[in-house]
Amino acid sequence: MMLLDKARAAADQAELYTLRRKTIHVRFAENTLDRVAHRNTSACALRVISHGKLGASVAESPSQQLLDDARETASFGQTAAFSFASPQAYPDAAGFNPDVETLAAGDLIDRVIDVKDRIVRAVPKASAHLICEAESGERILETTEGAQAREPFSRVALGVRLPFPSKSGDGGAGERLISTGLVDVTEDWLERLLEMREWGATASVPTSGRLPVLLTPYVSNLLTLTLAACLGSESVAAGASPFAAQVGEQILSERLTIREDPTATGSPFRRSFDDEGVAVHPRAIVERGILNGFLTDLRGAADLGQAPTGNASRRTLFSEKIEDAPMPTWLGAVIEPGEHSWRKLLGGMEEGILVTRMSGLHSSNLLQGQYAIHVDGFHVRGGKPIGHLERTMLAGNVFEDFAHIRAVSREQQPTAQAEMEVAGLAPHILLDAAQVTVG
Amino acid sequence: MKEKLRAALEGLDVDYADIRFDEERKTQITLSTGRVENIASFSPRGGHVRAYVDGAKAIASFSRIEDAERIAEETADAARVASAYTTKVTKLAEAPILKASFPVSTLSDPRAISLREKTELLEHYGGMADTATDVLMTQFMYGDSYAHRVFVNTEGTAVSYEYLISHILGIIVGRRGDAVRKAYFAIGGCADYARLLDREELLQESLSELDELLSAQPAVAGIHPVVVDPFGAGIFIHEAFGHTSEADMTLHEPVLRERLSLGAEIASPILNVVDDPTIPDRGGSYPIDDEGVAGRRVQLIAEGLVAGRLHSRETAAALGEPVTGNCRASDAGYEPVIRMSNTVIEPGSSTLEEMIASIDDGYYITGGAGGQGGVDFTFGVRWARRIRNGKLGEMVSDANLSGNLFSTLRGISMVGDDQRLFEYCDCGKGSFDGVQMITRICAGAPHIKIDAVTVGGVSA
Repeated sequence: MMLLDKARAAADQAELYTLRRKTIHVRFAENTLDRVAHRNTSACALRVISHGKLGASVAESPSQQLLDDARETASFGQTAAFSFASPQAYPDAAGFNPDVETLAAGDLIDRVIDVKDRIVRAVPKASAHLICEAESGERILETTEGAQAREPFSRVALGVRLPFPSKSGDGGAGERLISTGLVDVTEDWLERLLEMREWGATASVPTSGRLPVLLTPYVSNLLTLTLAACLGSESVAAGASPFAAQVGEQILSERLTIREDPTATGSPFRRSFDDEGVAVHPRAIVERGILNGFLTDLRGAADLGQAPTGNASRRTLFSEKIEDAPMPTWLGAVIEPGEHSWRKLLGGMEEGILVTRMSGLHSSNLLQGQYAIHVDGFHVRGGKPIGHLERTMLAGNVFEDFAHIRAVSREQQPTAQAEMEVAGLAPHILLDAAQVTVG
Repeated sequence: MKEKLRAALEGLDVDYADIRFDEERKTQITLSTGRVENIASFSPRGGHVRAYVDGAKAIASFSRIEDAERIAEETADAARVASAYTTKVTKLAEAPILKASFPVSTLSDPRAISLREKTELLEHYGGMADTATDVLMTQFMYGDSYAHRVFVNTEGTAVSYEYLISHILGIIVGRRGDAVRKAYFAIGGCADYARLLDREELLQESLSELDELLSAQPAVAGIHPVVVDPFGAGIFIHEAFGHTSEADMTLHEPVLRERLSLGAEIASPILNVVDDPTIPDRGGSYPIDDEGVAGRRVQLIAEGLVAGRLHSRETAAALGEPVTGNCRASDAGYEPVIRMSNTVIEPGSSTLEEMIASIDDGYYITGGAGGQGGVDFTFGVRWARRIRNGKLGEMVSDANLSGNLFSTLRGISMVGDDQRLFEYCDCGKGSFDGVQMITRICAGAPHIKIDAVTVGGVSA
């Protein structure tokens, strides 16, 4: 007897989420193969509503114990004011490329050696750290209410870091390509990486103060993390979000349009349903700076008296495990491009910084938009990067700083934050000014 | 289990291989503003294999014990494939062969406490916070985790060991006018459930801090002398120096490795730092790591000089240093990577009053809101207080710290005599299978004074 059938007999409702993943990962350190890694894992998360209350359990495979654990926890769980997902139509997200499944470790090694050789041909002294990862798997979500959602996924990532000759830390010129299929390492991409290495040949720091700040797509994407804390139904329903009563109002610069679209072409983690089996719902959340709505899961939608938007995610902040309860967040944040090339934005900066990496955002007061973070990147003067940053901190309020945007680049890049599935497409963003403090 | 794992390694054509299998039981209860938001039981199982052939290394994570033999063979094959491309030889340092069991024991075992009792305890603390003035929303999380691990290698080591930990973490959000601020409550972090009981006084302190913080103005950005409380100093030494002491973080960074060579002067002579898994009953206390190597005390800084590093068998061989027993995996199925255990600044001779009196214009900083580390580090500040003319002044908010490891260590000019260790801690570190979050760590310190550090905040 299948677990859901047993659950149907033992509880009011049940939801079973299964995630299977197969990964190959190769890592090169200082131009040399360091190791090959494989992963072949599965996990199941069961939620039940029993006597009107919600319980949950997680294990590596479905079993009677999984059901017994979920039923036991339901004795103490919250009263469920919602039902699990019912049958519905799912959009075609096309997040799977079958070629990825057939890749072997040798294929990834050959790919990385090719990139490494091209780097060393251009810069014989370069000591590159490279990774290449291919992952494929399947997400399955079934409920006793009749939802049947199943989709395969795939992704390939290739990352390169070239330490600056003068830098003693973990900084350097870094770029990452990520795609649902095989990544294409173009000459342009490599040239940009080598150009960044050149920019970092020496250190240069600006004088502390409010300066124009150009954010790379990777860093621009982090804006959406901050917004998630305020646009999620939990903080909205509790009244903790500063935007709880601001739908229809200007909350960011009119140069910013941010869509939630997990099906967007080019986005590296495309999907058709969220982690509760609700169909994703592409739409503009912020349109020309005006707030259109919130991100909800089943519970949050019930709290707000709205329809769920398909934004439930079980990922934790740093991993892709499925142990955490579903929470509303972006599943595919797409920041719309602007008019000018990012090089033109850079060239127009008299004195400022180009930020390529930031750390410590999770220690900030995101609910109020306050941030104080360490940044890596480059000091820009006269429209040109003149050295890599050191001991530089960026601080202020995200919502105030992103209310004054000078320009958004016309180029968009697929972005993802480390292993997190907060992914999408983002351009470069040039802030009028932010507080830069150099220690 | 040991026999199944031995069988999986038997007959492998490798220079070395090991296999670990974990069976865990976890409970998690999350209470959001008086409502049980999530209550769940977890029983994850998983394994990890490592194989070395002609200096090349392959690893694999898997979920089912039935797959152990096949995965071990495939991993050995992958190491052979890798050996055709490898131009450097990966070696493992010598480690004693161990055959032992390390069961966990505690007077108050969280596994013996009912779900009802755990939920009621959480509701008690949550209820206290929910009824405090200007509290808008709260989240209180209870977690316990028991792990039984078995490790076997081709050298003959075969060990089984257990972990048990329980904790409560509370996040309390308050609102007064337009100001929204958070306070934290973190207790436990060891096997003893009794440590979670009768902690109302500590929670009341957090609520009082929140009350004052809601009327506080944001800090003004700049470079200031600071006195850092034991939690903040513990986070600083963990984030800034502890992570760079993990030998895998510097192995491929020649310039950094040179600056951190043993005997290098890195701080003033008043600074002493150790990493010690043998301190009893702390989050980072353990008898053996996930390479089957016994954990031991490592002096990291002695009187301002670099005195040691944290190692896996691989980095110990690469750097020609002794093994330390710091190679650990956070969870079932993860690869073991080098992790700190209990990392602490040893007590000095200054009093808190002397430190504050020595500052004309600076801040008193309290840690506990996370951080991120490396040569350039940052950490979150729960709250801070101005120091003017040697006296504590008003509270300020949003005063995160950032700095450079080397200049900050040299800037530590006073070390207090009042060392304290954290209770609940967690830490993430990247590995191929994602960032591994671990709660089985601990940090601590006395108050310290840093002469100049960057304080983030609003423009002057």
